[in-house]
Amino acid sequence: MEKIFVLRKRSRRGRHDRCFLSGIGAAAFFCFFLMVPPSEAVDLLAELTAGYDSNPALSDPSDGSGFSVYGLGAMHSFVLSKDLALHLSAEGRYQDYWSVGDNYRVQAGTELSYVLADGRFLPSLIGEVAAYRDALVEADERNEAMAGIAAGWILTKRLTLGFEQTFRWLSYLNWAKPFSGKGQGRNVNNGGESGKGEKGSSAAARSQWAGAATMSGQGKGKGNRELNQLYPPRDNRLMVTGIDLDIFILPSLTGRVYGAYGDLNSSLDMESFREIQAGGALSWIPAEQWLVGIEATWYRTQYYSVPENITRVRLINYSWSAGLQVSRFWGDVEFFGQAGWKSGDAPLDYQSYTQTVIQCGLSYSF
Amino acid sequence: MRAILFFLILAVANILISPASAEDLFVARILSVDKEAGILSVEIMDDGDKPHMKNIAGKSIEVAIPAGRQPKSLLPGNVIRIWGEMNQKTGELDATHLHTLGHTGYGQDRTGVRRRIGRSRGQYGGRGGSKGRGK
Repeated sequence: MEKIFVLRKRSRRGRHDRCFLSGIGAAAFFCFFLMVPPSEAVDLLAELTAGYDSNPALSDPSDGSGFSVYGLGAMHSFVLSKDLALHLSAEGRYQDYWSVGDNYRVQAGTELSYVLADGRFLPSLIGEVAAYRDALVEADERNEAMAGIAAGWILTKRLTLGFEQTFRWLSYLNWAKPFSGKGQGRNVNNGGESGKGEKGSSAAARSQWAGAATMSGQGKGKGNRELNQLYPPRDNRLMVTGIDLDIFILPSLTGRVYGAYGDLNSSLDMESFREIQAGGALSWIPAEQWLVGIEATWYRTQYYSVPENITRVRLINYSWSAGLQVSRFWGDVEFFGQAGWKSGDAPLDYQSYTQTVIQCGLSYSF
Repeated sequence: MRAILFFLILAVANILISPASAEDLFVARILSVDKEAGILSVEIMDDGDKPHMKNIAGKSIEVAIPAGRQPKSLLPGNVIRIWGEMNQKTGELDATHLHTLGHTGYGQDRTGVRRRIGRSRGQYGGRGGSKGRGK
């Protein structure tokens, strides 16, 4: 019990640090965009959302929670020459769960695009840096950097083909047991803990958490030792190749189908995976100032480096997600309601999970 | 999930009972932007589908956009799609919907659907850790 108390105290202090860092980040964000000359307007977006998430940790059993989300975004484009343009964007989003831990993400992105083929082909170099922090599943906390290429090609009046190849570096912050991320089968209240801030002291982290893992009740059977050890913060590389096809069907109806292949090379071999995803989306304008969006995605994930002596991990996992959003616009203000569902296999212990998210909010772009 | 099925049925029914649209779809390159007046000057790149919209490719026309419907970051040189109807009196194209090509690629959101729906679950790293360890 004492160990748990110590960790909670550290977590509270960590939250203050995070608030401070996010404040610094927000100040830097606004300073940057306020430096842009007034003649070159910056597109800004502010968003406020409230809702209910039945399963924030994507675990089973689940603890639901109400939440509110505060979001800010800014985007600006610079025309460098007739054919060359630079787009900069920054976004911050804080999700305040009312009964479980909060999370937030700040990110900045850039895109350098060049017009080819009389404007019908638009290749781009893209990049992004991001920081994600999560007080509910600390194993997911990470910094990210991404670089890649993207292209859009107008095939016909009604079809646009998109392509993207990205390389994403994911630097996790905390020691964690294998498969401790959201939706991977480890219950956050029962053995999913991570050794926060222990980057430089592996022995301390392992001894501190060995007891907790044993007490949790998880980890009986073959391959337990590997699955209940804490491993150093992951240093992962994710390659993603994606294509999409936008279909302009009617003035009020636009569709999209897409597919992607992802390959995660994890510093902890057993967490490496290959994933295929496929999906479709429809955007429908049923009446003036209304917009309805529907999207569904299917995933197949294969963990290809799990040692043979570990039998508690399902190697091939399927999941799907779907969402529905209805928006009403009043000038620059959008009011929206949304429902989202997700269901899937969690690899550890052959678990599965379901999640329902209902939310509504206001968005103001100016 | 039933809600999605319900809305799909509603969308199909709405489209079937709606009168045939007089709007045509154009691909055009922006020549200049007057945001205050809501007017774009564009060069049409493809002929329209309607009989009176044939042989329009290569012509420069002005496009009137209703207030509040201008996409952000319209720049000269951008190629856009325009749903609209030619106003025979003014010679302007009255646009109802505009779609930009910019910000390309799989991870982007040209249809506007993914912006929030995907965010609550997280696509590949980009939206915030919903599945963890790289997703």
